[in-house]
Amino acid sequence: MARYIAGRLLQAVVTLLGVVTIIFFLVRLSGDPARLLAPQNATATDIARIRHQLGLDTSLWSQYVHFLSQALRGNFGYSYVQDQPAMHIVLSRFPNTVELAVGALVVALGIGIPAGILSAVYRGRWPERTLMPLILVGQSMPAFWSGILLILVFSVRFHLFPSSGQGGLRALVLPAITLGSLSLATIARMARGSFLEQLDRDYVRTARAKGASGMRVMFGHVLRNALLPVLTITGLEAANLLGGAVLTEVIFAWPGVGQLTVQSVNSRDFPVVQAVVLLAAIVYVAVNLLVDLLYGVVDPRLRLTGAAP
Amino acid sequence: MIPAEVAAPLGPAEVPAAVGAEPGRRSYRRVLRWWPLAVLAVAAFAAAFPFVLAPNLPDATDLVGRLKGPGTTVHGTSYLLGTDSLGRDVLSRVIWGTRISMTVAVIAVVAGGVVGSLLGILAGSRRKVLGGVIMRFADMVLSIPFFLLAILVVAILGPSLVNTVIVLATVRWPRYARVAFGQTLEAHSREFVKASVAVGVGPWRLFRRHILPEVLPSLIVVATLEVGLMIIYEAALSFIGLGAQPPTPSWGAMLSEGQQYVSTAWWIATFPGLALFVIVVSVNRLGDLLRDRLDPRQRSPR
Repeated sequence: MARYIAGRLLQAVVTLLGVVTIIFFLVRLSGDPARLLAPQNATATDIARIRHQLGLDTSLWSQYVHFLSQALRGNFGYSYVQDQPAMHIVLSRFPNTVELAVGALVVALGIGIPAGILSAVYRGRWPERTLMPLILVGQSMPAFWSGILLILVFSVRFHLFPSSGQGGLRALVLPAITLGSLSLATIARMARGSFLEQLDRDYVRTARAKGASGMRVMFGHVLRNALLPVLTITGLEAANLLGGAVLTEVIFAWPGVGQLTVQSVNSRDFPVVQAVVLLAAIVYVAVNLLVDLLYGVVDPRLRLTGAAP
Repeated sequence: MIPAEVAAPLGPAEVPAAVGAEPGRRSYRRVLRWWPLAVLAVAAFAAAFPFVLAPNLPDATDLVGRLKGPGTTVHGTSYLLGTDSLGRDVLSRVIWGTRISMTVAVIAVVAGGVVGSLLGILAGSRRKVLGGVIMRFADMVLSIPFFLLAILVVAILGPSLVNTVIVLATVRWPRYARVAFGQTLEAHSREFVKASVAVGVGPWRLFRRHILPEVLPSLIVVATLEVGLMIIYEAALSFIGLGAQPPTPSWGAMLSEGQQYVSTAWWIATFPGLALFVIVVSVNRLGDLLRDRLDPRQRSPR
């Protein structure tokens, strides 16, 4: 188990180093990072000062080492719009995005897993024939359209839920559905496939032959095995929600990281954009690490071999 | 918002055809299954010749006829899907928007697909050092949420439609690289490829005659599904103001404008969204059909 954890940790660190490196080179793709990092109305001397401050007049290699050590401390410089460290601003918005993401996951798992199980158990019959097309439709609806349609119907027409802003459970409903509908499709498809595969296994036939009830077979035997792949997908989806949250937050004026990203790009507040991208990568890597470790807990075979699932 | 990256089990639409259809009805069902091609043919026609289909100019403003509902006629000009806040014809803008969407998506997929596939095949053929480096790099790019990475790159390059294409192409290559890598590894483990290597077939000939035909079907399936994604992401970038700049009739920009008038003029956001939705559903369905046809190994377990 210790080797398994150590291996995964090392992999996570290498990935993060790589992400920081990618950001470093992307910023230098623009030609002059100082111009990019400078506020819009900066003079030539301002830019020269920034260039010197950031050490852009030194060699590329020492710039890289400097950038790396600063980035690993979460230091991306100061925001130009609000006079605070960029990472600080991003982190202050982070809980709001987490709230939205949790809401979306509740929607996705709460509907997706039962829908997947139902369409696996009633394969080829009406539950599957109605559920799966609905899910396909949900998957093809871009968030920025489904969100507007939800506002149109539930806020403008029926005044059931607020159309924007944060505050209480009622305000969370529409954004959570908008953000969750896509993961819902992925999770439902995964759950269906996974349950179909498990239901064909020998142990299910054995359990049935022993006279176990359908319920007991399902919840006592199949569930634990079938939910493993769903767990992995959920981890990936949870991390992806951060990226998807951008559009949802813009539509519903939700004061999270995604909205901050768009505001920062529009006001050319570049340090904040950098900080968001790195934070997102950290969350992605951390969630995946967590899923890998959970896998070890749920499936004891992995602890012995240390092999990737 | 980020659609399934996984070879997810298929939708149900082909289940009835496979399970229950009587022999007589099978042939016409088999043809009907390819409805996405018909939809996409219409879309391609609209993209190529928008001036034939569009009743009005997409940029013609009419300040008297602002925010008119669907079916209104203002001094002799009829607006089937209504007008926007500048009095422009929503129908004509939706039709011209097809051109933007399709062009951006196709260029992005071709560029990203060619680069990613070649890198993936290279990685699969030169497994030791080069392959490792390429695939680790691909994994790293994939660990930054795609949409945020796209925003970062557009922020660096500056918002425009051309930059949108560049971003979508450069950021999506790892998706193709992964598929090409896996398929190439599999091809190299085949007897006939090993035999070719053993008799001294050169790398170029090996690639053209043996590897490419093995890898291509999966790549075509992935590329088709990617077209749908790229259409969504072009619209998404335009929606947040980083893609097409006004007055370009991009569906995403129209949706963004429509949201401001959502309580008074529902048609502005609804119709471009509907067009987007229909195209994306068709592309995704076509991808699933192609997967069944070209790449049975990726089929869902059943």
